[in-house]
Amino acid sequence: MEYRSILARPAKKINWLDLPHDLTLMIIGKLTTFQILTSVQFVCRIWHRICMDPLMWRTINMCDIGMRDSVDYKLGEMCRHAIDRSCGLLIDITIHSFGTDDLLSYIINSGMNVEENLNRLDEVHIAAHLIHKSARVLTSHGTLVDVFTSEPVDLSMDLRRQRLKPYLR
Amino acid sequence: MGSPLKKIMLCSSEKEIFSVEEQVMVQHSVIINNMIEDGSYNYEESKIPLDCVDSKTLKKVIDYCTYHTHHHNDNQEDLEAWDAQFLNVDSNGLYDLLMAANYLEIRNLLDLIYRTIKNMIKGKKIDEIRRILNIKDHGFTPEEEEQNRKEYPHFY
Repeated sequence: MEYRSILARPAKKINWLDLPHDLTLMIIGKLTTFQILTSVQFVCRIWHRICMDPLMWRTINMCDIGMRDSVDYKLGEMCRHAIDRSCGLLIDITIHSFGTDDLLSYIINSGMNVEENLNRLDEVHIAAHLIHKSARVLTSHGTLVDVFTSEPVDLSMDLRRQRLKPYLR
Repeated sequence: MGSPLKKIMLCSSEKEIFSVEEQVMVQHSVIINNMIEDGSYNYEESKIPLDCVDSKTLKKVIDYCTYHTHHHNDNQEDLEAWDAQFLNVDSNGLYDLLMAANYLEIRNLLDLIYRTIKNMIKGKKIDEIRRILNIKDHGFTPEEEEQNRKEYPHFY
């Protein structure tokens, strides 16, 4: 009689792992870097494999993180990890309120093709733009890429970092 | 673009026939638009067989296309409220809709579904995501799973 409850289950119990690969890619592609690194990649092996693919890391978005969620995490380290996964395919990176000069040189030295993707800006300009304001950069493919967006600068980066410091691990 | 009065027939996986204004489907479904445009649909005899879409899901899809055809001038807020109500379904229903929207290539519905899934997952821990999406077999070896849980306990 114990079996009855099992048999009474709805006939169709959907498993999202059966979703066609390209649809799964679309779903994961819409998620933020923070979400991918803190949960999505560990959900299952199929998703994990997708999350290790350098092509998934052409765009790194570490902007849309609620402060309450983010203070427990080392965002700079997380960002470096994301950059590593891009294997030099990075074309667009968005960082919010934890950019440092170190991180910038890490981005520039990541194997990312600065010549190709950040056309018309030299390294110094990139750093300046990354720190101070959002930059739209014309790539050699003729497309505009948002290199960096930050809220209008009202606090210097240093000041903001100091304010965050007590909350970081 | 089809004439607004013409009807086309859609046939669900249960062989149930749905008669829909041509305009409604042509405007939303790339596949159906192509069929009408290249003349492969015969108004006298054709039924478009949708073998992978069940009646319940097909009815929802037609509701979506009909509403958005007749209300495209409504203000954005009202449309979003309607969309939210429309997608207030369980994850099984969402899965079926996603498959149907993908099959029929209804791009605005696909976008809406992706956004909804994104919001379902947003801020959730790993165990919650598995529960929401009914993922029983995550495919990691017990050792890997244990290692991950040990290393990132606050993610779970």
